[in-house]
Amino acid sequence: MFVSASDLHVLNTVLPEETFNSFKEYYAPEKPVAEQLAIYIKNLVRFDLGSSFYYKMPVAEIIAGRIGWTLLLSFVSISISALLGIPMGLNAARRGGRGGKYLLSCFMALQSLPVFVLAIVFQLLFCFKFHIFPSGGAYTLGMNANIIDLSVDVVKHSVLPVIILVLVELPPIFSLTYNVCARTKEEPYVEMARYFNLSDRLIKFKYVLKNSLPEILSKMNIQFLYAISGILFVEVVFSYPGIGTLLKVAASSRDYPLLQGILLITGFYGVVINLIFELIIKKVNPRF
Amino acid sequence: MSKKIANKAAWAIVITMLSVGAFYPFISPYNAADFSFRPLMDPSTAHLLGTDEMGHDLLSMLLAGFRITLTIALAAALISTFIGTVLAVACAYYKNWVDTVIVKLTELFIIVPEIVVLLFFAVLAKPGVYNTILAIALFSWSKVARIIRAKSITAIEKEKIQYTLLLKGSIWHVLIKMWRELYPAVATMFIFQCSKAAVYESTLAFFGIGDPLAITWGRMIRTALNYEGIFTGGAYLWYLLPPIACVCIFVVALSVLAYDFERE
Amino acid sequence: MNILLEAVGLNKKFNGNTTVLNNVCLKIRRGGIAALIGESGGGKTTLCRVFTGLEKASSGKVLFKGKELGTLRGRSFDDCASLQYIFQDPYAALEEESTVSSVLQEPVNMCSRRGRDYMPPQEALTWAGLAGAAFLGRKIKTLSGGQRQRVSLARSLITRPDLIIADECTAMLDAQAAAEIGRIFKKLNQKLGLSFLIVTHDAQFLYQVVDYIYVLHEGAIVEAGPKDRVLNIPSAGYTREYMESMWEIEGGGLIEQDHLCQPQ
Ligand SMILES: Nc1ncnc2c1ncn2[C@@H]1O[C@H](COP(=O)(O)OP(=O)(O)O)[C@@H](O)[C@H]1O
Ligand SMILES: [Mg+2]
Repeated sequence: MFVSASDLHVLNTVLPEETFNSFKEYYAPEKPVAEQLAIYIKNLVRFDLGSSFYYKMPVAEIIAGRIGWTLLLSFVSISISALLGIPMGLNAARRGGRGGKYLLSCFMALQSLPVFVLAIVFQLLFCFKFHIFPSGGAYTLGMNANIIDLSVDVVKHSVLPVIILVLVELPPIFSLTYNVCARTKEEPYVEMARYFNLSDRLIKFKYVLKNSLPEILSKMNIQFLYAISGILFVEVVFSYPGIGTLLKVAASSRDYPLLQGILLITGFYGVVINLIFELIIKKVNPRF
Repeated sequence: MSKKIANKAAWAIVITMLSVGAFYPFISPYNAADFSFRPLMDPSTAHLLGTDEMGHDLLSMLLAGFRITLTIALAAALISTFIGTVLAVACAYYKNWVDTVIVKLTELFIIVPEIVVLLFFAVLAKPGVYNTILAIALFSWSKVARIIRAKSITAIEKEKIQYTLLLKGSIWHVLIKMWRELYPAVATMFIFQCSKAAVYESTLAFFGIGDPLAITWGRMIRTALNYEGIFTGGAYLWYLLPPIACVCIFVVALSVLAYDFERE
Repeated sequence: MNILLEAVGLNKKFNGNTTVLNNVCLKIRRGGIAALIGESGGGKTTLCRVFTGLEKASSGKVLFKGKELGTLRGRSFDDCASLQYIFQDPYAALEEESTVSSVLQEPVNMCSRRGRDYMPPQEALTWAGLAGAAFLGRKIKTLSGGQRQRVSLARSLITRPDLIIADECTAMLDAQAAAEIGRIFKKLNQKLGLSFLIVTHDAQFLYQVVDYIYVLHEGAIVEAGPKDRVLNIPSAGYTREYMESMWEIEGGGLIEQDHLCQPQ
């Protein structure tokens, strides 16, 4: 994003003096666009993302302080979804019939709902009506406890966000597994195994799962990327102190440097996930 | 059999919602902008959904939300489906670097979620209904382009369409010629985009971006959540849940329709 | 001799390695009906598609009226209009749901847009042996294979071409319909001076319609000459094999009597 002098004029009138000055220093809007770009890239390389209007701190520092919580939610929820979704998909595909298709259409409907709406409804039920879980945050503020109590506290705070994330991440993993396994099941070597009267269990794990797994794994990167937008909204509803809540603050206070930093960090996350998966795919199945 | 019923119900819901949006001034009990009522009234026969903390009649706001939310959803979906379809046909028509660039662009939207890019640009834009529509339309075409591109690449190899290429038909001639082949997929994508646009609109409003004056379901959800006492009394029942229910019903009905279209 | 179309050293490789055309050189005279014969998979369709520009040659060039023709994108509309192509499959080449008149309208529109003189659809239909105004209103899906192929022919006459390339355009027709197409080609050739390049396996065509024959074998032209010479004294070994196998299938008159069963 490049800033023209007229944009700057608008900002000058709404921003406090010092913020405005640091903004001006970072983007150098009086210089030509090519030079702006050069400065900007130089800054990026040094991990200098500018300074937030709202927090009056370097953007890189703010993001670094928050990203851990987001990664925690992301990895925990995706692991659980994969551990549930892959066996469910495999079983549904093996049994065939209507069950799997029925589950698939229910999941389709669930998937189309806005994530934050699901989060609000869950928060309403489990936090405000039944008081089972804390309604927000990642831990109880001001708690002076030992490490065990603290861990329990953190887990308790993350249960609800994780459940909601699993609800939105499970359907695509389920349908991916279901479709891939349903296809593998029709392959001649599986038919052959059935013909030889091998046990159902053996067929399921040795033939269907083992031959489907590479394809499933190779497409899981989409799940990681897809999960990120869900995480951002769940965080906002539960005031979970990750990137999502930061995004909310940045959006509602029109904090451009912070917004831009978040945009870049999600892009960076996507690129890294893709690279990791490319490596995994090469290891698991060189033919892709 | 049950599939048919679900499909009919979904059509009925969508058509009812669109008619409510079209005719809401005739069924709305009050003017949605009128805030002269006593604030925070519980539901009564005069105010079926009570009033908000400013003194608006909530039912009238909800009904007004039908028009603006659905207009945003339809308009954004129309534009994004159009953009996606044209880019997809351009991939098949020009091939080579045009195809590569467009495919790379759609991949970019997988790496950075659409909604994050959309939020970024919606914040930059002046708040307003038009800008909301444009922002949603400009950043949500990637799936349309991906799906229609695959269809176009097979369609353009068909002999009846190659004839148009032989007569040096332009991309528009080819698009029109291919329309019969593309139409089912485009219709499915349009329905899908409507649902997505409604979700994006409510998400933008939830983040406090968008036209602060336009009454949409998303903004009602936002103001309900901003109200301190929303969860302490029963206010969420008539303040928060109705707009949430409207968004969910609309979106689910559309996804049922899109799903059925895809099957055909 | 007046050369209409010339191929100079055409090579075509698919996916970088499989050679389909191997240094093809040929000249097509203006005002003649030339046939291209050869085994299935020998590259006849590929050669035709290179001539029309649908396929790009790996090397070599195509000259049309002495001018080099580039890829489809590089050709002028006039070049495209004067070199028409009839597809093999009459069921794939025309849109099932359209009417005959709308099929014929497409080249009319293209020509009038670019200011090229065109033949009225009614006249083109008459040439193709489909007289009657009622025919214009027929849906393509109600037509037989032979009628469709004649509609295709009428469509290509509209741009007033100099050369029509027909790729096995009778392969999917019964003998009678094929013979009718042959008579129409002959008439167009005599009355309008139209030139043809016909890919065919049909012995009747070779004997009665064609006046010049090219034999394509494994991507190369192995024999070329006037019909009578190639059919009666084939010089290349492959051509001799081809003729023999053709007569075995066709059961014509050239084979010795003891190859036929005598009625008891
Ligand atoms: N698009 C393509 N990609 C790869 N190979 C092709 C393609 N089109 C044709 N071929 C190959 O080129 C060869 C010649 O095909 P074709 O020109 O259709 O032969 P013919 O028309 O003489 O039967 C065939 O072996 C075919 O498999
Ligand atoms: Mg062929």
